[in-house]
Amino acid sequence: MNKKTHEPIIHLVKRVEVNQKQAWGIRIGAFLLSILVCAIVSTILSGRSMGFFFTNFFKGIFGTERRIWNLLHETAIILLIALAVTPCFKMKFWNIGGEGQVLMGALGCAVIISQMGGEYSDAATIITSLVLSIAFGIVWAVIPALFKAKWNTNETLLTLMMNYIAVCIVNYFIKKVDPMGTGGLTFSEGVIGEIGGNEFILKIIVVIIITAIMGVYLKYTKHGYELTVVGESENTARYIGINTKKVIIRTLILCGVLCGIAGFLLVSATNHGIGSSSTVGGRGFTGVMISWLGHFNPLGIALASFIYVFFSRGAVQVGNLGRLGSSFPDIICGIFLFIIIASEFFINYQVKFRNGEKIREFFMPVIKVFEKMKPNKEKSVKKDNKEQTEVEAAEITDENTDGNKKETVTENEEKEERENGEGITAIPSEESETETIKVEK
Amino acid sequence: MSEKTNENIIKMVGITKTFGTVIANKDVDLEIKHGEILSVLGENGSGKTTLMNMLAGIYYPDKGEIYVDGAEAQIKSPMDAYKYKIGMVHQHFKLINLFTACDNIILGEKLKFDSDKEKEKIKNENDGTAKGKFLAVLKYTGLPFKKFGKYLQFNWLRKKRINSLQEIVDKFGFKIDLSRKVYDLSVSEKQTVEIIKALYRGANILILDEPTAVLTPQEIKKLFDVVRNMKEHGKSIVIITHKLNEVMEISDRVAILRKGEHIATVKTSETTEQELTELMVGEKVELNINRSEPVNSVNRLSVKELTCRNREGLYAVKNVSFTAKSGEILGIAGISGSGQRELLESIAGLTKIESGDIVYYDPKENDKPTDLKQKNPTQIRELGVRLSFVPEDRLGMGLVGNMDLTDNVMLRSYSKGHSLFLDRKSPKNLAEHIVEDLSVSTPSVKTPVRRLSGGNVQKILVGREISSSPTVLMAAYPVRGLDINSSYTIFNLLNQQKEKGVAVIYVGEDLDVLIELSDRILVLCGGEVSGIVDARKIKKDEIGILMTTVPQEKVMYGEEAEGRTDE
Amino acid sequence: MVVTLIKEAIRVGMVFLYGSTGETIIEKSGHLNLGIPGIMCFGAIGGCMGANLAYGDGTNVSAFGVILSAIIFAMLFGGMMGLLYGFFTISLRCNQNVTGLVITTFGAGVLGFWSTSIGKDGITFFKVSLLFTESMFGEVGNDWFSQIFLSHGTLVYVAIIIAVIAAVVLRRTRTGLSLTAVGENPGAADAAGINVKKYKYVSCVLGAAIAGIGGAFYYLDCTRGSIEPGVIDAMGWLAVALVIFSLWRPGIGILGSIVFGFLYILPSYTTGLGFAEKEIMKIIPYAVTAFVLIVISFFNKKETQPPTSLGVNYFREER
Repeated sequence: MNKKTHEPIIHLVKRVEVNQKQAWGIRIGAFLLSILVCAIVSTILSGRSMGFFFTNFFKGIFGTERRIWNLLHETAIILLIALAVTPCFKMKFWNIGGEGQVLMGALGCAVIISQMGGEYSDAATIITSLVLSIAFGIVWAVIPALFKAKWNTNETLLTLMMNYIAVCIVNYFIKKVDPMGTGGLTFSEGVIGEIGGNEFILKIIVVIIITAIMGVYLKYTKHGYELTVVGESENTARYIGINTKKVIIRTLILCGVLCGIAGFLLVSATNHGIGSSSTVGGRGFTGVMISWLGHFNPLGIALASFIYVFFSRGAVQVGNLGRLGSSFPDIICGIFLFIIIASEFFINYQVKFRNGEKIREFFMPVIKVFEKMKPNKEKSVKKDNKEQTEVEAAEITDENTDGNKKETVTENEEKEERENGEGITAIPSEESETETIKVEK
Repeated sequence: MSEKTNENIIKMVGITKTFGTVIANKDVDLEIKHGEILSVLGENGSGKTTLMNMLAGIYYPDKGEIYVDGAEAQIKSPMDAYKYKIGMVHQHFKLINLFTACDNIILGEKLKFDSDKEKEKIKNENDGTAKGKFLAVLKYTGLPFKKFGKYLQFNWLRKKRINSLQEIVDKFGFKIDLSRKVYDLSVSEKQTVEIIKALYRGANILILDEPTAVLTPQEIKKLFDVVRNMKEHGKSIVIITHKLNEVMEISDRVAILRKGEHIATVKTSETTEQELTELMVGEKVELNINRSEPVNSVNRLSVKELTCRNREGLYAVKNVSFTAKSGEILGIAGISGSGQRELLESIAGLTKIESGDIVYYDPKENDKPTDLKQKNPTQIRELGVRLSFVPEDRLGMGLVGNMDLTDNVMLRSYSKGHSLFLDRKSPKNLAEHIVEDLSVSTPSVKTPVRRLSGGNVQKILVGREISSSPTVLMAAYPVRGLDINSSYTIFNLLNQQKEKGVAVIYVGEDLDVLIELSDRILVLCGGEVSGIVDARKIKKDEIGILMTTVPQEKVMYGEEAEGRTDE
Repeated sequence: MVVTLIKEAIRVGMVFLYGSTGETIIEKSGHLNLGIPGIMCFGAIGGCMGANLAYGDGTNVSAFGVILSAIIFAMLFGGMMGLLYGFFTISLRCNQNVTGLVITTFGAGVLGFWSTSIGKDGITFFKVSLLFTESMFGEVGNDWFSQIFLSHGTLVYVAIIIAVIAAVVLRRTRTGLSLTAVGENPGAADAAGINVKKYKYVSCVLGAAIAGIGGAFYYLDCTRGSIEPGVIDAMGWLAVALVIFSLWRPGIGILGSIVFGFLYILPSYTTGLGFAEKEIMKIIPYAVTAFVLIVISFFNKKETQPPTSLGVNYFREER
């Protein structure tokens, strides 16, 4: 009995059941970690104290009433765009064209305002511009859907290209209206002004309503159900008689409508003007990320967009006061997003160490440092993980074709590991889909 | 035949492999001799493929040892298998469609570069003269470049490569153009590519997993010629199969597996099909399924001369005719892949019919004949024709793994009514009913289906189809992978449906069950009907023979359900 | 006039060529890296820093050393981001689009930050950029041939050489064959004994490193050392477009990049057109690419399709 198996030392297993408590532990840990990392980065860059970062970070967010309104307003806009692309993603239609679709919506609005503003009543202008915004948004969203449905054109690449076509079209419009201008238009007539002395409240309410509607749409309507089935398994969809093409086009129309509304709100209510790069300003791409971070669930997306804006607004303030420039928030947001998406991995996968002892010994100094640094919550989560990994360390798999596996451990240790493992393997197997069971076909 | 014929090239001792609680192989001993053709015979699920996968490095045995040429071998990956000169052609080909056959064959092959050896060579070639020294220096400086070249492995000398492959092709008598792209190749040509790939990697032992399942009779003949040819060149060949006639035709010895255990290994020349069948299916198992006599049977569905093709474009169902009657269970027997799937799918409207008719007699309208060919799947479903198909991948079709029980139960019915909103209340009740009636073990009806065990998933699938009070219920492999108790639950359900007057079509693998459960059994072989027999009178081995006999002359006893086919 | 136009088109085109060669290598392994603009930003920072490091105070500098140092640093910075992308998408199996977009945001942010901070420190790259813009072949004649083919800085030729090598390696060597296999069907590649993870990592890092040189080239050659953030990331998207336009072949990419470069500079060279019409002209590269994308999906010819597993992370246990 000298079985010798060289297995990859680190083994990843997809969790079947995600422990919600643990998941939130990891998420909160990641959130705190990203604040910490951002603080360190900004301290290094600005050369000021940690305290400077924290004071201004939170001042930037909650400092004045207006800042709080700004926070909510920005959250609302990003939330709206993220909601628009969510049904597409749920259907596994990778629409990264939110930027272009919103921009076209904005263009629709700007076209009407520039034509009708001042000449007709504000109400007429606003309503017409809303209609045209939505129409433009739909057109821009449906084009890739049509090609996808018809010829299975790669939607990711096509929507990406259409973003830039939209930018150019908007630039064309701006130059057409104002050939000598600086690349932006501002409107004073035919736009939505303050309501009840507050310029933000309207948009926030609109977005709250849309969030509720989308929540219901995705979860409680037949349409939402159908698009989930299409996304989960196209075979099943075909099997139960869902017209996949119809669903794709219908969903992208919905996406276009929401993007159109977002564009309308940005032009008519927020900026009172249009600029090719400033109006949407990358929010279309941000929406894609937020939608993914929120697990395509409207409430999750709301939370994700709030936290994202939370970071970016805090960073803007720190950047301004620390004289770090206008690009500083992008860096902070990038770090934040990196940490959050990495944390998703640890929620969905379980890392198992084969031959764990030796590795742990090797990394012991590092682990010690980390355990000191980590907030308590993180620590307990870590422990849980570790217990499980030890237990399951010794499964034999069919997957040792991996070329760069490290053949470092002696046979004896291996064997011990396995014998230790075998006795207790059964316990956690309900929690995680261990090696995929393969039965003869 | 070589002189080593009696020596074992492979010896497997006490091999055990379990998947969870399922024992796939138990204490199997198997020997493969030099230059022989060994058939591994067994019913579906008898552990043939698992056993061979352990030789090919796909699985690693839980217990037991493998000896190659007398020395113990550790086969942990396909690469290891190649090292021991074992090559396997899987049922599902692992080829890259975009590449030519040639590129697929050489893919992943590692050319070794041994610099010490090269240096040695240069030293030896150096004859000491000035010219020799000069050349040696040149060659030394060229070494890194040569190494780099090997690393990048330039392959622009396509012709040269094709020539070296052509040698293999000619040697074994393959007929294939290696410069063609894989997507242009037919199934049998793809198989050839896989075989050449294994040979090119130096395989001495070639394992073919159900090689004939996807081939036409002519192609099978060609394949067997090649296999014999390889044998003459001293290769050992293992063919996994459950087709008796092929076993008799090609192999030297037959190893029979049943329920994961090795039953016997016999010489083909000393056995008969009859004996092999007995070894393969084993003793008759007593099942106690209550079978009632059909009452008030009327024709419900009649299929006439149905022909359709599978996804590869081959004929899957050829001229199949039968009638399903209300209040009876029509069993469909046959080796897997004999057209069962396509037959049921074409009735359900999911596969395109090439020719033939499917007529449904609608009980709601006084058994008025309706042509199902003109209806789409939804309309067919609304008529009451239900297909509860359990594909190989249970969650691939029919159920959505990530959705919970309720959502899965309403997959069929959600679109009813004109409301924009989903009605989750009645599906939820239904799901709870199914859970209770069929004793599905699940934490709640809110659990995603993918987290349930296979048996429970199947119960939900069947339960859902039954719940909608069908008039025709087609169940394909509904008990595949289920334990005995769950199986009985399903059988009872089918019997209940039968008593309610539903025309049940049951596609099964276990002949014992088919005989005990069905009223009539339709036997398919290679997409054709080789007989329709009365389940109460037929014997198991007779069905076994029908399953492997390609019908020469069609003998139809179907309509009267009397007697059985001639042999 | 025409000669200048073509000359400039080639020069600007090389930015796209670097980016698209890098992205092609990455996409061939089945990874859609939307972080190319961000990676080019990082490459720009690395390249400028590397050039300045080797340039020192401007005495006793060899053009070769400065350029080499710029290339190495640009590759290092770009490669680092490629490694980050690879780690997230290959090891952590994050969504490729999301990871790419984050890298783009991050890279643009870092470039913006860096450009303001060097602005504060009064660092300029004009002098060092002269080493990059001057012709690789020294003084060249004024005839059209020398102007178009011989008058460029070293990095232009480096771009073409890299693209040619990439084209040969991808189409003509076993390494390229294996890489294509990984992008087409990682399961089959795995079964054939190819180390899928290794190929994916190497292609992500190498591709990003090459794209990184593109960023450095833009600021050190095209803009003559003046750092204007916000331009290079727009060009990065065109590089991604060029990958599609060139049907995943760096060889075609060489010609495509010149066409793209031509279209990119055309508006500023045309007279008699209003600003608005010039904006319309800028659509052409994107529109043509979108058109190519639709046409290849329409004809559905297998050789011209995007790599089959593009955008799908490989997890062996799901085999």
